Amino acid sequence: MADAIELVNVQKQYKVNNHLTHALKDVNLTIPKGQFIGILGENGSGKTTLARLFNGLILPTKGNVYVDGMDTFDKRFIKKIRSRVGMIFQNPENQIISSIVEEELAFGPQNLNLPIEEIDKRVDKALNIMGLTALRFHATNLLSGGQKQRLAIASILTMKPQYLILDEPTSMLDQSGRYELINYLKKLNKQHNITIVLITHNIKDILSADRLIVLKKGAVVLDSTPWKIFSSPENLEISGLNPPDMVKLVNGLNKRGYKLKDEILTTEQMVEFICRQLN
Amino acid sequence: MNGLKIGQYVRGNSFLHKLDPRTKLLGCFVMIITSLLKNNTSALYINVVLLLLCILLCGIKFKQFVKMVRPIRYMLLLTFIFQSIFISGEKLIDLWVISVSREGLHIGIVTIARIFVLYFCSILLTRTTTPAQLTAAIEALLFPMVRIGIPINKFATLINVSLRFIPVIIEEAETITCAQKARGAPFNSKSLIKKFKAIFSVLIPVLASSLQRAADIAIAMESRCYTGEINHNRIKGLSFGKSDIIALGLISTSIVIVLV
Ligand SMILES: Nc1ncnc2c1ncn2[C@@H]1O[C@H](COP(=O)(O)OP(=O)(O)OP(=O)(O)O)[C@@H](O)[C@H]1O
Ligand SMILES: [Mg+2]
Repeated sequence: MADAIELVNVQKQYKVNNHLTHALKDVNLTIPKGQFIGILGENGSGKTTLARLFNGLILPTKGNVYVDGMDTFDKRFIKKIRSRVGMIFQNPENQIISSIVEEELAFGPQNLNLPIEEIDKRVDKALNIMGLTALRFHATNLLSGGQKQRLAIASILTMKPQYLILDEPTSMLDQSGRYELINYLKKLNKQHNITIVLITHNIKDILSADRLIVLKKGAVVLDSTPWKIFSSPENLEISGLNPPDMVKLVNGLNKRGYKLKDEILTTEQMVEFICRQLN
Repeated sequence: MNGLKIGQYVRGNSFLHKLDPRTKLLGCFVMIITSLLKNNTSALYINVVLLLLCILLCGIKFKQFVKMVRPIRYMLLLTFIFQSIFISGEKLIDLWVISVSREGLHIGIVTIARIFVLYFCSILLTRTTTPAQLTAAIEALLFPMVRIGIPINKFATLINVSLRFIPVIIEEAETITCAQKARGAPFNSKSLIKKFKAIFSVLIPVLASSLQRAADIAIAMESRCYTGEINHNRIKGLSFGKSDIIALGLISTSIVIVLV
């Protein structure tokens, strides 16, 4: 049994008014355990479709999706697959089902028919990880957008997922909420070894990802590291992405004869680099 | 806009909070039924006294109590005035064309007491019981109906989700009302037709967005392993204690009083 999500020759078509849209065309992809992966692509490029294939919310028109070896077509595995592959959506409001924080966290494990003591233990732990312990008995509709998104993640964590798929989770958050959420995701990835697949329109969210996948018109056009994608002009051409300012700066410096060998994508990395040069 | 709404759960440690949700649900049911019985007003007055006691036990201060009554004050006042004026009988007060009868006064008081019972039963229930507890109680009490093919567990989830989204939808309606007012929708027009049109201009967008919301929520629930089947662990989580026995005792006493 392979420890990964695997897509084999996956196609997805939608039929609307007798008109066929090819949302995904022949995608082959492996998401191994432990990575932090960013998915980028224009509107309508098939990102959401791809995400929903990962946990069997939708099924491929052709091809197969395997989660740790389990076929999403097989109905017997559906609960196992969904508890392993957690899904976070764009709108924080519409994915919170209970009125009280604590009960929201218990919803998933309750559906898994776990005993109450076990649920309690998991709720404690998830609240702690997502920094929500103080809000345990709060009403969910009084939380801020950022807190709601963290709550949504916490209530997935109680199902002990191996993979976390996030479909534009930061698009309704402000600057600080977005920054905070990304830091929590990094923590989940590094400390709890949860695979993160983050769909976003904001390049800043995924600069420190292990791997970036770029979709265009339903096909994977790039699958590489952030540095390789942002520093090569032809990759930028293919993906139609705008490189982050820091990469522009590094490329400019390299052109003028400074040989910066490091892969520098963020301000922090630049600061670190300069400090090392000074010492 | 995000203030504490009436009917919202408030965390606490009172006698009522500790009661088993099944007891509370049964209690409310019995109280409401016995209060609505036509010829027996003694049960009604006992219920009012019991409810006042519960309000005290709940730690609700007089100021809060007044705040809770505020939304229904006109309803109470108007029903009382109309009942006492328009029901004819033995005249108590006679002022020119207005006369207040003894029967009218009596029915007025009874009606007020009934509204009070209905209103405070639901407020106290939702104030001291979380929606999930309520859901579990409904599921547990009506569980036998599953045998005859009524999906009580789904019904319970429905209630749980509705309670969660009522404040969200109210807020949305308020926002849309403001937006339509800003575009000049005649909410205060004297013409009834215009007023109805204005109301529809809010109702339709709210309905449309609720449908979209429902689709989103269904997907979110599904991806958290919700399948609509019955959850036995949730029912097992309820616990029936000494205070529940006392409360049930009180409830049965009031039934006996009604029947005698
Ligand atoms: N349920 C559906 N029914 C019909 N067509 C659909 C459905 N879902 C997606 N599509 C179509 O499939 C294509 C890919 O949509 P998808 O939502 O996956 O894109 P996306 O990359 O997530 O876009 P966005 O950035 O706007 O979220 C689009 O052309 C869309 O119109
Ligand atoms: Mg999308």
